[in-house]
Amino acid sequence: MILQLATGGLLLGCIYGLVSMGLSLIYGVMGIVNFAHGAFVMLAMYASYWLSLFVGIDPVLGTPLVALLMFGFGIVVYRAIIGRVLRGPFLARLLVTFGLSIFFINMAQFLWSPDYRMVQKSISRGIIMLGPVFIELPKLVASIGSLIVAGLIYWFLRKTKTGLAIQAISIDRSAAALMGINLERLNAIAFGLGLACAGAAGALLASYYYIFPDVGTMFGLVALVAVALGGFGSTEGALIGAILIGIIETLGGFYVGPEYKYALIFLAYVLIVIARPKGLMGWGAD
Amino acid sequence: MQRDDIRNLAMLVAFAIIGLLFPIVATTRFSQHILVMVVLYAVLGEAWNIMAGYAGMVSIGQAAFFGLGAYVSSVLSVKYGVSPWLGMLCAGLATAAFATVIGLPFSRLRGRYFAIGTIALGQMIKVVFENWQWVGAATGLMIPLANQGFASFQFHASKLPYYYTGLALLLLTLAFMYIMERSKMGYYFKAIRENEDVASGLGVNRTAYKLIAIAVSAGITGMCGTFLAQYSLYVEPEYMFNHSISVTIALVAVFGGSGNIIGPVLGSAILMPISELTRAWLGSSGTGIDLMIYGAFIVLMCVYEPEGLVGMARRIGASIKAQRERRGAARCQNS
Amino acid sequence: MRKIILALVLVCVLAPMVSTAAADNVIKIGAVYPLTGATATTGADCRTGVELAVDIINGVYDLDLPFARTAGIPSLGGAKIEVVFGDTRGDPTQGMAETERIITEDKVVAVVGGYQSGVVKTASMAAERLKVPYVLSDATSPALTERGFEWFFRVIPHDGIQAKNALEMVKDIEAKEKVDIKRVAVLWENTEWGANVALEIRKWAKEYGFNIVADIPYTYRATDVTSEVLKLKAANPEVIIHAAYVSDAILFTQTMKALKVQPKIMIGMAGHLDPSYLETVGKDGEYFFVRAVYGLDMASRKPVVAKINEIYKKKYGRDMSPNAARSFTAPFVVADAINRAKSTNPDDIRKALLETDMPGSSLISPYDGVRFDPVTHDNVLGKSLYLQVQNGQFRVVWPFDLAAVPYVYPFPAWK
Repeated sequence: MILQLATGGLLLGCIYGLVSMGLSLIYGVMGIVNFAHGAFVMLAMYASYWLSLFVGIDPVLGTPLVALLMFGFGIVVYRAIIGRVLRGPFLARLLVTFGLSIFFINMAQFLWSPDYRMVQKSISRGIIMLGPVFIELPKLVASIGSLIVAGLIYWFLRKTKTGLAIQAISIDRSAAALMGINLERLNAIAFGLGLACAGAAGALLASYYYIFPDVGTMFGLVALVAVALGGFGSTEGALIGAILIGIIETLGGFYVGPEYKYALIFLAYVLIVIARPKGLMGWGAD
Repeated sequence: MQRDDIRNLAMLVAFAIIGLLFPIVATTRFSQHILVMVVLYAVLGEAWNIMAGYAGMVSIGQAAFFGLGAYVSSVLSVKYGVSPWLGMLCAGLATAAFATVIGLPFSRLRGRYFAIGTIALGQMIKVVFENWQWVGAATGLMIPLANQGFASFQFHASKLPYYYTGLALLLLTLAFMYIMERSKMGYYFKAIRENEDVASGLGVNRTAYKLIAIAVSAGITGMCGTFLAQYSLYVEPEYMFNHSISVTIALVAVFGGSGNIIGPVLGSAILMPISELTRAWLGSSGTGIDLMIYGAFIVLMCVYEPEGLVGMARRIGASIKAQRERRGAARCQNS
Repeated sequence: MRKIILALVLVCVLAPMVSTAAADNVIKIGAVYPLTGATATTGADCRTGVELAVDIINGVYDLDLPFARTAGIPSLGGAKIEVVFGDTRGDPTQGMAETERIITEDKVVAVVGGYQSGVVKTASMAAERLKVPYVLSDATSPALTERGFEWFFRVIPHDGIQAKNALEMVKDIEAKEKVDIKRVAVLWENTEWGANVALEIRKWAKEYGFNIVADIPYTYRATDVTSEVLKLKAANPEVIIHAAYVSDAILFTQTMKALKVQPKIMIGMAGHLDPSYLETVGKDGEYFFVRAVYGLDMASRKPVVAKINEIYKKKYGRDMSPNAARSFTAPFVVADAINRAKSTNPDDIRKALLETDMPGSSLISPYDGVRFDPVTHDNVLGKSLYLQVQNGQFRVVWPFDLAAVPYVYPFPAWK
């Protein structure tokens, strides 16, 4: 039983991680806590759903495409809204994503009705048995996808010129600007990448999860805690925080009681940040 | 400074008069409901303002204090027959005490970590109440209908007494903040907001002042909880500890412009009617378009008026002044 | 842009409240539902039921239902009924405000709807304070009628009766199959409604000699329910009773399949009835028993059910769901009271409601009729059905004398 629980927790954690990493990236670069991240995941889920329904692209195989779409969408949102707010005061930066979240969730209801939808065919369906442990294939695929995304981000930030520049921004904005780094352009790219992560998360979730306008809210909230737990600004921290949360949720839900499982996640967060005020792996200014 | 003080005081008095006169226009029950929501969220926004706008601790979990206050007075009145007015006082004190205890570890957290910590607090306390049988668990508590009047804090025929009660609460809060802003405490709060470490280095006991800000903010928020409990005569965890209450409080304050006295009142005076009226006009279509407008409004405001309504008013004021000066200058030249 | 914002602010603040003057021969009734938010899909479904009911009352239809063959309310010269919808957003304060608004601004003479028990608590409180009758046909928490309200009436049987019926059905199956069933698990979403269902199930399980082997509350917003389902599996129940909204019903069904939870009887409530539940889970929803107060194949006993469904399908493009059918009843009860009262005065309507005596044949629900208890105002003739999903259809299987098809027992292995 414990094995089954731990596996379930690990898979869940990886899925949370997929949602969290984009959030972390956006925060790290431009200091915006994206409360609309859940809504972006929801939009990506719909995109994936329409692609599978009308074009016949499998949600799993369509992941890169959805990620690309969301990247473009991210650039647009950045240019139209985020970039302008970035120059404003702290509280406006905090507030704008709340507004975006309310807007997109209700736009989804307006355009596509509040009905629940589900991708009917997907290559990742079914269950595999690993010894005594049941593993749901779509969750396994999503978890692997999450690790691939983590790897890609790691590679991008460490090995590419743009990535290094982005890192430079998250360490010291003004110094980076003085060194001739084009902040606006890189911010837009980073925001696009953050949304691309949300896109990948949405596409992989869409392969097995139901879709409705409010679907992203809880994912967004948990991801937020995961990112803070891992330490704002650290994508690895976000993944580790998310996995920790997945395991706490599953094990705690079983041994303490399902009614307390979200309380346990939040309690874990509070205890950890009280002990380590910058989260597990966070650094830089708050 | 002197002139500023007088002007602010005059503004406060003007506000009170406008507030008292409003019901002449608001004759329907629904418009009275909107007025009640405006004053309720104005008080909540001001309470948030003490903590976030002045002392720099951004909270997105005010529902924790709000719900706690609602429960304290409701439990007292349902189980022990305590008057809701006394209950309101107890609610304020109990939430302030609770916030002080919670605030001790929380005051270690900064910026976003604090903000997300408050979200966590709101969710945790909700779960506790959902599973606490003695206070009705998920079913909540119904406050029995009683004869209306100030003794029972229930008004059935008209909502105006609720409005005046809320208005009184608002004026008290504003008066408190007015005094606070001019006291040493107000300066210490701002010092902590601007730079905690420097403030501490200059000899401000930052933990103590942070705790005071949290406790006062929570106490007022708790009293508002009692107010809503008496208004709807029903408390339930899903309802009173709802995350959307926390979000709305922050929205109202930031929208109006935080860090000054008048901001949250303006924010509430604009945002609550928009929320209620769009629902009334468009909500029954069931398409979500009312909330779409609400969301778009907030986004546009952040993009074009990031300083909030107060910033907008200041800018308009400044441009009028500049125009007048220009005209004055032109006149001088002409003569 | 700044000017646009300024203009928007002004429009929103200064715009006068538009209250349309009522036409002479129109009677307004109000209906409040969660039309936006997490339960919006159910709210929209309920709304269709009310709309269709009012259509039938106002128009001329060749149906065996009251007011169908006549246009409008006969005793008031064929006055038409107009429904004013209010959006509760699933929030008790807004539910209260909307109810008050439609009562005072739109001058509705009665209110129906609500759906979520928590919202109905404050919405009905508003009606009670303003002395306007509230007829509920779609929320089932027993606490609602325990308040002794004067203006509040409920047509649908409450959770106590429905929980009792669930266990009676299990007893009946036990007797028929000659098996011994003892181990019952109850799974419930932790808000007002689910908590009350669990309370009633516990009470009746004791009465009927079942053992509750698992009693699992959870939040309906959960993103994953692995731990809940493993807990359920560890208890190895023979019967699972699940009080769920829609999204959690879907999630639990999928997770129980994945983790191969294999009870003999699977019973779902509320969420499992929503059309989008079956659309989403597809074949995995097969053989669930679902409590309901409506079933399409009641048509074998009540031909009018099929005719109504035909009209419904023409209008909305799908079969009438049990949720829509629940909401369908209340406008008829209100219309009946108005017709007998020959008045649109709320107090006269209330008095007429107290004397309501509608026969079972005038309803599309399985109730023996509508007659309100003089004290609680619960419908004393209420009755619930159990349906079973067979080949993607909800089929009536219990009580046995109303069954359209035989039930399938035990719950087959997951495919």
